[in-house]
Amino acid sequence: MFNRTPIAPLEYTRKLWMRSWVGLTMLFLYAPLIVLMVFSFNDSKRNVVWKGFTLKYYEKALNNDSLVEALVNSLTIAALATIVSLVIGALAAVALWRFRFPFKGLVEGTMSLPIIVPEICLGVAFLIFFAKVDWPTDLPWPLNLSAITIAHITFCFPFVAMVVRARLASFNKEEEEAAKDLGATEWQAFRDVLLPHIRPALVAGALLAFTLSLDDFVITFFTSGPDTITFPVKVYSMVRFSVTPEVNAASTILILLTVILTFIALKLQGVKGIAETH
Amino acid sequence: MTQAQQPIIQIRNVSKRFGKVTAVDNISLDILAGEFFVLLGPSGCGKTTLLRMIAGFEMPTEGQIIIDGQDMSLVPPNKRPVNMVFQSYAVFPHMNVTENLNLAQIKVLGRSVDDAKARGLKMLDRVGLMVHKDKFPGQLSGGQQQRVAIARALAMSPKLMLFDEPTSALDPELVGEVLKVMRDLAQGGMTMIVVTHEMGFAREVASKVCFLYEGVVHEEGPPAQIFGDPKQERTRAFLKRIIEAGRL
Repeated sequence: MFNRTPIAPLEYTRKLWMRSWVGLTMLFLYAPLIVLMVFSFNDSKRNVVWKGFTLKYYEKALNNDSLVEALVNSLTIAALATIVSLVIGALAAVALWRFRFPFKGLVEGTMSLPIIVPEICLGVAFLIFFAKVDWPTDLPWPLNLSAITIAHITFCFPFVAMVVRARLASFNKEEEEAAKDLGATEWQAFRDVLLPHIRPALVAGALLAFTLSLDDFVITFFTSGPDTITFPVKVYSMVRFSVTPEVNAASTILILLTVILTFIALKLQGVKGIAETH
Repeated sequence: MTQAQQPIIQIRNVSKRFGKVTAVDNISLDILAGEFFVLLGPSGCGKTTLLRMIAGFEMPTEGQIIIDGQDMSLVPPNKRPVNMVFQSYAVFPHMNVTENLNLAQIKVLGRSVDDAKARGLKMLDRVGLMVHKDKFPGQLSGGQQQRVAIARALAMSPKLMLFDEPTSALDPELVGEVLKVMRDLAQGGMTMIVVTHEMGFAREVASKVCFLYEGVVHEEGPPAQIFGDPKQERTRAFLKRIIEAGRL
């Protein structure tokens, strides 16, 4: 025992009070989610006292057509926004990393504007924009989601670009040159060497874009119409009357969905990702 | 090292300018098949730029680079019968050693998987890394990674190999293993153009040494002459600094 190193200032694993602090922080962060999930099984119309276990609110939520429709809308928008953001974001990142051109700083700054500008301003801007261009609102599903999807892409792709850019900074350009030296075309070098390097960033960026899109309320609120309600907007309208266990159940489904998706994404990177770390 | 004495590379009045900076200034050189050609010079003298022009990563501003009788001055790197070994090894970290060796053979040369594998393993054996064929680069030392890179280049059956300071990123105790592989290659008759700061090695193995200074060839000749009896003042000054640094 006497040859143990002295406890470092932030070595929380060896300080009881710091461990408790970490524990309390976790509790503070996750307790609301856990309460929400637990009360989705509560056999009571009011969400205050535990009255017993039931699954009926899940049944109710899944039979609530407008809620399911909102969920499907949200997932569709999130999927579309993620795919497009991923392509635009990754291409923008690679372009900014590889090339030098006039006004590059300006382009970079402008690109991250959607991250900096307050959401409410973006929301209003989109509202005015879509009204001004007279964007059609009576299109069939899923084309009627285009306005929201475009808005979501606008604030999602800078995040993808940012993450990919950070990853590119650690890329050894000689690897790409080696590929070309071995006979690879530009496209082959991109696909077989650069793309695998940025893959973790693409997965992270996609997850980020998907979650940002899925739970966006402010911008969606300004761009959605009566036929294009998304899940957060729907939950908001339900909560205005009362927080029923049905809302809890729906939220739990959403949480589970996000957790499962994250799990799959991490798993996909899995063993190979660790072996690559160097 | 006495194969048919015809130049495999002819560098004809080649210059390279980056904006107002002249990196390589009107250089002409002949490199014979089977030669171990060492480029020497202080940093910024243009030796890496010259090497990169031979590989095709830089295009000459003026002049011609003729490889094996063909003018390749403007041919992109993937179309040249030349393979380069990089300072940072540049093995692909997301592929294991075997995949590193096979990929280009299959996709570029169109070899069958079996052929590529056989050739890859043969080259791996040549650099003494057979036991590591299934490992990822991250699991290998710098010296081993550099040997994988050499094996990968060899697997492409190049006519000429370029080495851009292949040992300068290595820990001192790992330099020897890479130099040994290069020495074996030289003895096997491979044509090699090498930029290196390993003067002792260059003196021992090189068939010709070329001293560059400010983008110009200052002195060219057999190693015994360049190292033993340099004619130019600049060469003498450079070698003196190297000796003082204990590298010769």
